[in-house]
Amino acid sequence: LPTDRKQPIHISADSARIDDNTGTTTYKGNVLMTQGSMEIRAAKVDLYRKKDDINLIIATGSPANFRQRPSKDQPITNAFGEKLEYKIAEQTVTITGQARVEQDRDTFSGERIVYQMKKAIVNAYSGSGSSGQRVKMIIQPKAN
Amino acid sequence: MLLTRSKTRIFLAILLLFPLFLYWIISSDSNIEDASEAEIISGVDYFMKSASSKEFNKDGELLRTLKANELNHFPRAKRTTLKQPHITLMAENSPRLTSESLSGIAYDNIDRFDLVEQVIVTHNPTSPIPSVLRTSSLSLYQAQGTAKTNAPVEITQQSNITTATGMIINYKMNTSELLSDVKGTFHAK
Repeated sequence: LPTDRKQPIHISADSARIDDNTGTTTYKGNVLMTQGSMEIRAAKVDLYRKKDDINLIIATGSPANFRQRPSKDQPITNAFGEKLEYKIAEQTVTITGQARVEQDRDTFSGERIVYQMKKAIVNAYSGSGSSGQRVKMIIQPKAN
Repeated sequence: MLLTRSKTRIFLAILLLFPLFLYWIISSDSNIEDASEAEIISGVDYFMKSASSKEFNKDGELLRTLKANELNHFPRAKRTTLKQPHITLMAENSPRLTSESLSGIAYDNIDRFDLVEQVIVTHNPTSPIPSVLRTSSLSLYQAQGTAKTNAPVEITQQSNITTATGMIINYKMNTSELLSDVKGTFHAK
């Protein structure tokens, strides 16, 4: 939801390591992070703080999962990938490694997907060269 | 005749009682010694009120300051108990960890200091956003530069709160490990 950005971030995990030199806290094991309607589930989450304000969250898993309801009248967006990079100021989530996004019954996959949370826009990118993963979209017909 | 018989009886009685009397004198002396020794060993051999100490390394750098309302040393147990200890541990000439509690235990031959009951530890007290740890017990290992607990902990840093069970602080490396059941709340700006 648009108000998610202002909600407190709650995080739980099996263990954590705080590094005051880099301002990084690494959470490991059944990590669940929530901020309003947004949820991240992962095996490991690195939380980066700058002057005590969180500015970047990197989640890794097999896969890691990000889900959020963009607005009251829109369906939940579900994103999956081996790595999710949530940039809080830009309000974007960059998904790599078997990247896949599901919105209602539509699905997008590609080498890299950038999800813009404010407008619920999905930008999918293919990999470079012939071996790169191509972008694939499946748009389901909408009922009239 | 009568007299000599009574004299011999007295003489015999003395002869019998003398060793008993001798034994009694010897054992009571040692008892007194044991008692005083016991009191010293199992009791306190020295104590201080409003104790304050500073420890420096061989290069003259301040390592630790220690204050306590009361300090009692127990020789047999080879430990010192402290009331309201307040410790500051330095690293690279800056206070890295200040810690206080209701009571504490220092050990004569082990590099370990136990903080017990209402333990409050401030990490990087001079930094703009120090973090404060609250727990029920914590052991400080000065030579290693670590502090460890298996008890539940609560860490606050400005409005952010993290709880966990068990923690290892490496205050020379400025890192901490939260061992299990970690929960955190961070307030977005």
